[in-house]
Amino acid sequence: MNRLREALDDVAADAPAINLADWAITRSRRRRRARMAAAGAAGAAGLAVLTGVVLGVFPGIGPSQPDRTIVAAATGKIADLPGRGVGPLSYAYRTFCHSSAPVLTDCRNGGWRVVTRAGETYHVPQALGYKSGQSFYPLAISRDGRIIAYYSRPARTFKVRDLASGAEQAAPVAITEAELGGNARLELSDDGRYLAFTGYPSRKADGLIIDMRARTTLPLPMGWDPRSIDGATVTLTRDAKYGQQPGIWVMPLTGGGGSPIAVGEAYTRFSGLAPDGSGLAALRRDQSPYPYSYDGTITVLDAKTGKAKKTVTMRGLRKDSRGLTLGAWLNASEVTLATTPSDRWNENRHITYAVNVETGQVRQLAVYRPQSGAFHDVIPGAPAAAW
Amino acid sequence: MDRYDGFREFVLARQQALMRSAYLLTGDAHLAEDLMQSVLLKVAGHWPRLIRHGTPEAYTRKALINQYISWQRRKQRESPSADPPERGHAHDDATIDRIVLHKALTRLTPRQRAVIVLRFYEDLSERETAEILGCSVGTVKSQTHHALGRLRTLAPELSELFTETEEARR
Repeated sequence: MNRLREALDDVAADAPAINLADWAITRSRRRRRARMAAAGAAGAAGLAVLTGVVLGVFPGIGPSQPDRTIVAAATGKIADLPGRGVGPLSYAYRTFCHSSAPVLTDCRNGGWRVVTRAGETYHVPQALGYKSGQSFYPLAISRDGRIIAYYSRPARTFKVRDLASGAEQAAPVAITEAELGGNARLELSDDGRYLAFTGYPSRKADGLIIDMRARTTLPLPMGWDPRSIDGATVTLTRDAKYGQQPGIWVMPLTGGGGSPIAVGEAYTRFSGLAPDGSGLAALRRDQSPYPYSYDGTITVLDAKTGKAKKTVTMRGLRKDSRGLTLGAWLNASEVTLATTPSDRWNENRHITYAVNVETGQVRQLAVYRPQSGAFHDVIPGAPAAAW
Repeated sequence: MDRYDGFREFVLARQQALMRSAYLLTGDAHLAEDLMQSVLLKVAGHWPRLIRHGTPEAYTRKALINQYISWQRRKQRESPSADPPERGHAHDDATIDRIVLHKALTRLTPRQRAVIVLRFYEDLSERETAEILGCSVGTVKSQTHHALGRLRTLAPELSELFTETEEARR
């Protein structure tokens, strides 16, 4: 950072903390109501004037109410996750208090915060988010936003929590922080029954599938990353990093079944399993020497053979999109894609898209602004944009 | 579906960053809050359309800059209060720089200040800055050059800092 930027940062740091979200909504609603009332009144005005003339009276116009000046409150206190009654989540993100990004009010370094679809924000003090250095701990959200899974330090394992009822269940197996590694990957099934985790990248130790209902576990093969879990299978993928042969593996949750299928060397980013279970989507590297540069296509690979069923060119994606990562399917033809729109050092936009694998058409779903970049947020049903 | 779906989250995530830019632009905490209120009210009013087009961030930033310039055209409300302390006070160099820079910024024209904030605080490119200000890239270049030159005159003690920035642009 150059010195002018540093000096501007110092000046900007004197800006007071504000919390204007609720004020702006309330005020905007009031304005809108007033506009609509005025529009309705305009229609009646002709009749009113006529009536006034006939009756010889006009209603007086009362003194207008002066606008109350609302001074931005410097509160920003965030509550801890309530014991029950929390609505579906929009997303979750880690906060950092010693960051080059603007530090949020009521910051807890490395802590997880969740934001509901209704806009409420809560700390999740029970979830370990960050220890030190580059050691980050995962949080997962079910696709409907109603269930979370996180690592509990006191319980020394993962917990799954239903946000509405507050009911929590600890995994039946102890997992040490060392076993989690520095950047574990965690997947949660839609019903909250299954958890899959691996250290990421999963090169040093086996991952684990945890069945929270049957209270059993199933080891995951080393080097494979879980992409999705349904009631019957976990879909694992492996890309070409570290000299590995890329592949897909739809493994039954009963264990011991299925087998890895090799796919073309160029395929490197994979989605979860399609709703009909027949295939999954993948991105293809281009010929450039850069490791995460893609050729702009999306391919549906057959889950049984690994062969390409259909390849289309994606249309509508921002030109400078980076960190393309595929996630869950929205329906039979659309799969989620997460990106960041540039590789600028301070880029913190995390954009999610739906890609139609039949036509290649891309439509934007949402833009998120996690405090510290796309690596530190979790969006239900969508992947984390990753390099 | 509520017409403000996602607005609260957007504001919670971005308001502090925007507030810092507003403060750099106005140089005054109360004016910065006024500016933010005015802009967020506009954003809330247009929220469903902004979400449809996926452009809330770009719109908000543009509204912030334009509202600020528009205010400044109508009235000069700033009255920088404190002179920078003499060297030798119990302030470190960063504090001195901050006070001097703060005062110097208030002496720039609104557009010059907007260019400084967008280019060197928000790290936008010349093209992005031109889009927000509704002018050509050439105008941004010349505004930047003039703004840095004026800052050098207004705050000679920081001239090294501006020269370094000017040289980095070339």
